[in-house]
Amino acid sequence: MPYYEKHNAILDANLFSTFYALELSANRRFHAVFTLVFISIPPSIAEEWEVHLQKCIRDTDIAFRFPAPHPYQILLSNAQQHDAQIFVTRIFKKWEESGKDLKEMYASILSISSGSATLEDVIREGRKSLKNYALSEKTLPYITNDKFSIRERTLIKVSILEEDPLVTRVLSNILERSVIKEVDIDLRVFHDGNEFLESDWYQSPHTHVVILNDILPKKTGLEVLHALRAMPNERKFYIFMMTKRLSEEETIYAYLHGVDEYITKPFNPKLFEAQVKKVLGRLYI
Amino acid sequence: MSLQLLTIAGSIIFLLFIVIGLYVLLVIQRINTIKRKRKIEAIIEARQEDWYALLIDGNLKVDKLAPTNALEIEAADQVLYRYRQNFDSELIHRKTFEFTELYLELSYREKLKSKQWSVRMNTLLRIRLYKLEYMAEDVLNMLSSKRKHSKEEILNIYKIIGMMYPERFMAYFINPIIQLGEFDYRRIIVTLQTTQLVLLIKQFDELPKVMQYVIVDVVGDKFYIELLPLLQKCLSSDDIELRIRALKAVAHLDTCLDPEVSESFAISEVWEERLMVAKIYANAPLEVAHDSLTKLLSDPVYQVRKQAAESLKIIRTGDEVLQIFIQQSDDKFAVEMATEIVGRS
Repeated sequence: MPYYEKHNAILDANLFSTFYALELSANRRFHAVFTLVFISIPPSIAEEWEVHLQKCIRDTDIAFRFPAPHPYQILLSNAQQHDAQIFVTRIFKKWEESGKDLKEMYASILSISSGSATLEDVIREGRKSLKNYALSEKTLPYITNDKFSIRERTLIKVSILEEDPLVTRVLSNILERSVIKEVDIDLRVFHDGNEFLESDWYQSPHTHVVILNDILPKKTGLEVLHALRAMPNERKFYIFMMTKRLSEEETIYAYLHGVDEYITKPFNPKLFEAQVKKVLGRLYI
Repeated sequence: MSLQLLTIAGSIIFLLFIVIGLYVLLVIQRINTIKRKRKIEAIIEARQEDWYALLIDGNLKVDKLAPTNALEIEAADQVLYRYRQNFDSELIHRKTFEFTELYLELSYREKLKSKQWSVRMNTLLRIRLYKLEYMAEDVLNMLSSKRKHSKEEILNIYKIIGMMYPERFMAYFINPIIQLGEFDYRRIIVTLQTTQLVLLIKQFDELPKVMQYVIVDVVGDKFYIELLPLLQKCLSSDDIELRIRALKAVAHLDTCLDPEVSESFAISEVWEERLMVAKIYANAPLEVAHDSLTKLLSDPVYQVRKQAAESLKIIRTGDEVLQIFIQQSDDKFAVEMATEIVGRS
């Protein structure tokens, strides 16, 4: 079979840690949720089951063969618990439809939203759930475990770039009370563009909300905007630009060059608070 | 000889003393200004949270921030101005009004009479920004005062009159105390409410030409689509300039005209009118615009040809018309233009 064709092979357990690390890294960076399915089957049907499993898994799913007594783990990339439930129901149903017995076949499902879930922890929890299944009422062919499905609090960096300390105080107060419960913010104020760009504050991988005035001493807001958008990881920045200019051309220019929200001064602080809350909520999701 | 030398030397020493004296005076003045500025900043810094509570949260009474001396008055004035430059809400407006009426009214009244132009101008700016109706009479009185006011001040006074005397403002605008040009009128008229603009439009024919032009421009620039009837009326004026401006405003409004009206301008002798109608055609359906725009593609004036091609490019399926034109027309210049516009992404 050519190397570029997907063949849904069942991989060796040794490779699991590598794929798990990749998924966990994507989860930490992009909050991508993934799900693990632990399947227990009688050893006598292993050969037939593997053929069935290879037919049923999607191109983005990866199945691993582990030593008995819990031989199969399936990693469902970009899938929530609900997707995994449908997946398990489907493969068991197809198995049954082909005239085979479902006796002693069951699964446990672990959705991973938390970037701190270690490999050892998830394997232990998945297997523990399989054991618990044996004691349950068995109304469904699977059991779910929510231990890692709660996302950790996210730290979002916030920078205010504005010359007037009175204005930065108001903006800081508004931001501090706009924080949603799942998010921690780390806020810093800069009074000119250079001070911000010369700091190493914006270089961490955290999602970063930047609220900047278009007119700033030393480096203007637009210069700061261009510098941020020229960075390789520029997508982590969510940029509000404040301005006293009302011209259509300047607004369009700002949007085309990477501003996410353009706020015309004087603006309503309550509306600004609502905008910030909405943005923080979206950045968390 | 020596007496003369002594006299010169004495004069030089005397002048030197004066210069040094003046320099020292300026330095002392500067130091005092810096000291005063620092004191004001310190007062602002100390009461920042209280101002926030008053103007943003609305949970502090105005009297808790009552100034007790000149420095505190100055600090309060600066805070309010900086807030209003950056933030706006019904609460900020109401509290600013209340505060200034209680504690700054006297100061503003004195400042309007100041000898310094900048002090008077800053006060006028605040009156307009905070919409301080209780200062309206004082502002109006400035027009009849003996002091000669600058054009900038007078423009600001007119803007305040426009804002605070929605009925009486017209008399002042039509007969200003100094001669106002188009740019000056524009700066005033652009600040008027739509209702005030409607009042001006009611007497449109009696207004000076320059005001008529500005009103027509403002209708287009500020997208007052409800005032389109005025523009339509101007299209039948004898004044070419007014007709061109009205056409331009219609184009700004992204709307189109009756086909007969458009066609009459498409064959106008005035090239600016043909240019503007070519622009307006971009908003019309192809079946309405087709004939006139294809004719305008061969217009003797470059700008008109270019605009006709651009308008066809904007109209849905207009691109195909341009392609056909390129293949079939014998007009070398028109084909060149159409090719250039089609070639643009």
